[in-house]
Formats: sequence, structure tokens, C-alpha cells
Amino acid sequence: MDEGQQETAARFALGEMSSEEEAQFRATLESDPELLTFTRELTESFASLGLLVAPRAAPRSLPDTIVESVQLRPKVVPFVRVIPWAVAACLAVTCALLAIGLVRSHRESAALENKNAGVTRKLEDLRNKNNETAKELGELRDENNETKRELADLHDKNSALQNELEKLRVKDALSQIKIAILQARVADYAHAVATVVWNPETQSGVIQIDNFPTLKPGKDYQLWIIDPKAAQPISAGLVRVPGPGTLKVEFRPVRPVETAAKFAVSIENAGGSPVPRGEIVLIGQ
Amino acid sequence: MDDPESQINAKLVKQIAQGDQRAFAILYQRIAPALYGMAFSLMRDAREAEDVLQEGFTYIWRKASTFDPALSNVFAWAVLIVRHKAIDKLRARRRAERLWDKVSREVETAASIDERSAHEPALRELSARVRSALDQISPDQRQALQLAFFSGMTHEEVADHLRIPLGTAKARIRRGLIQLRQLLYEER
Repeated sequence: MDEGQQETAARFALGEMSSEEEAQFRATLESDPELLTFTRELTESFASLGLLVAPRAAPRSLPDTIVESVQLRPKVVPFVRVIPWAVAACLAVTCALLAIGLVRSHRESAALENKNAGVTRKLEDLRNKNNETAKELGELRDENNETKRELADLHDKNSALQNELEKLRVKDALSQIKIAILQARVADYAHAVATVVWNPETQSGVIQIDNFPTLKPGKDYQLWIIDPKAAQPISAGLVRVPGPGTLKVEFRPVRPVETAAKFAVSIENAGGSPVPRGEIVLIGQ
Repeated sequence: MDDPESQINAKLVKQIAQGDQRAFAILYQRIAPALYGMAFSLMRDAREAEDVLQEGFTYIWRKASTFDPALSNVFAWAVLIVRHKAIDKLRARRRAERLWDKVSREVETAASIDERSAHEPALRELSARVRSALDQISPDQRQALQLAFFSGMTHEEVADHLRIPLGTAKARIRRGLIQLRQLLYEER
């Protein structure tokens, strides 16, 4: 048996345990004979201290007094003599019941008052909470409105930035647009003027021509774009001139152009050629 | 201690549980002097000691059926009942504080009192053994144990009185009791 068990047994013997602890310990004792014996010996040792004082002659009549006071001995009493006592007893019982009822009523009343006070307190708490919540809600609404305003500002700023960006894009696109004026390579075209506007982003352009001689049947003017990275000039299509005057023709090369270094116009057989074979009449950059 | 005396007492309690008044009177004769002496030493008043004795034996008469021989012998059971009644009375009257001096004097002098054969022979022998065993316990533990038994003081009051921490007071009382048991049961 360990020291802890001995201490617990001593607490039991000394009456130091609460009723709960005592009940638990009694249950333990039932399954531990060694601990039970030890506890019994401790209890008897503690009680034996009572023998340290001198004994005294106890009153002899006490057992009879005790037995008489504890045991109820029924006696036969004439019925008539019982009536006044019965009435008195009934009255006493009635008074007692009324008193108990009164006390109970007071207690219940007090309990209800306490309950009412509790409910009132709770209600007050709820009201306070409600006020706080309403206040918080108002604050949240203000915050929400502020956020909305900030969001609208951001939208405006975003739109302004988009516009700015668009303008920059346009500016950028314009900055990339190439304008080339073609010069005559042969005397017959000394008075001819050709201006090319090329947009590399859209891979398209416009050629404006003036004073181009009308070609013989079976021949066509063909526009070329000279890209240093391409092995051959790239065809940009035919330019059909119906007669004297100014003519604007939109064109688009047959394949992508990386760098439009020069533009040239040649005379090719009707319908054009994949590569320049005829005479180059104008060229420029 | 399952000696013949204890066995007789146990039989008497069994009969009392069945309402045997004669058995009650015999048990009273056998153990009442010791219990009355103890009650008197606690109460220091013959009338009050008699009240305590009456309350104790009323309990025994009514609750004899609750006696558990596995937990103690009849004498120990009765001693603890009467002591409990006395302490209840003492505490109710708030007399514990001034009583302890008287008690300690009583305990000191009890050793020199001739018991004039008022105890049953078995109890007389046990009384001598208890006194001898107590002499072998350390003075601190003996003092704490006697105060706990006779003064009606709570452990806190014992600690206050001895001017020691509560834990120390409890430890002295418990270890003193464990020591007493060892001397009474293991070193016979």
C-alpha cells in the first residue's frame, strides 16, 4: 500500500472527507481488503484515544429513558376524550399547513420577483445591445457609402487612365506610320507622283498617285514593299489606273512585312507577278 | 481487534438492531463509563456530558442496523458517535477555544488517574496500550493528534493554536494516527 492510500485512509478515519469522497472511498474499500483492514485499524486507533481519559459512572436509567423516548407505545383512549384533541390537532395541522402555504407563497413570490428582475436585466441588456448594434450598423453604412464613393472615384480614374492609354496607343500608332514619296526611275514618269502611307500595325496602307501614264493593254502597275529581311520584294497588289488624274488605292501585302524599308512600283504583265520582273518606274522610302 | 469482547459487543448491536432492549442495556453497561468519561472530558460539564451520552446512545439504539463490522469494532463506532455529538455541541456553543486548555490539562493528568476498575477489563488493557503507544510517538504528532481528538477544534483551529501552517497540522495529525496504528497493531 502506498503512502497516498495511507493518507486517504487516515482522512477517512479522522472524518475529514466530504460525503461524496466518503462514498467513493467506501466503494474502493469493498474491492481492496488490505486497505479495508488498514482503514479499520486506523479508525479503531483513533477511537482508542477516547480511553486516555478516566471512565465515569454513567447514569443507570439512561437506556430505559432512551427506549421510552424513542418507542411509541400506543394506548387505548376513550373516543370522547379523543375528540377535543383531534379538533386541536386538526386546527394545529390546518395552521401548520396555512403557515407552510404562506411561507411557500412568500418564497414563490420572492422567486418570481427575482426572476422578473432577472428578465428585466436581460431585457435592458438586449436593448443596450440593440442600440449598440444599430450604432454599428449606422457606422457600417457610412463606411459602405464612403467605400462606394472611393470606388466611383477609382472608376473615374480608371476611365481617365483608359482614355489616356488609348490616346497614347493612337499616338504610338501614328508614330509608327510610315510615309514614303516615290521618285521616278525613268523619264516617262518624271511628272508622276506617288505617295505611300503604311501602317505596320494593321499591315495595310494607301497609295495616292497622280499623273500616271495609262498602260498598254496586257500590262498593270504592281506595288512592291521591300523588306530587308525578305529574300524578294513583297507584292502589295495591283494599281489599276483607268485614266489621268489622282487615284487612291488601299493595299495589303500578300504576306506580313516586318520592316517596310522601301516601296516601289513596277510594270508587270496583266494580273501581276509573284516577284518583280518588269521595269521599276518609281521607288522611294 | 476481533477479540472476544469485540465479538460480544457486535452480537449485542445485532440484537439491538432487532429491538432487543436487554441487549441495549448490557451494551450500555459495558461501554457507557468509558464514553461518559470521554464526553465529560470534552464538555467539562456533567449535565452536558450526560446529554451527549444520551444523544449518542439514542443514535446507537435507532441506527444499530447501520453498524458495519468491516469498518470498525463496536467500541470504536460508539466512541466516534459520542465524540461527534460532543463536538457538534461544543462548536454550536463556540466553546472550543477556551476548552482546549482544560482538555490538554485533562489529557496530561489522565495518565496518572487510577481508573478504579470502571473500564471493562479489555478496555483497561487497551487503554494502557494506547497510552504506551502514544508515548512512543513524536511530541509534535502526539500533541496534534490529542488536540484533534479532544479539543473539538477544526484542523484550521489546531493549526492556529499551534502556530503552524494548516498543511503541517494536517500532516502531523494523519502521520501521528498512522504511527499510533502501527504501534497498536504491528508491534504488539
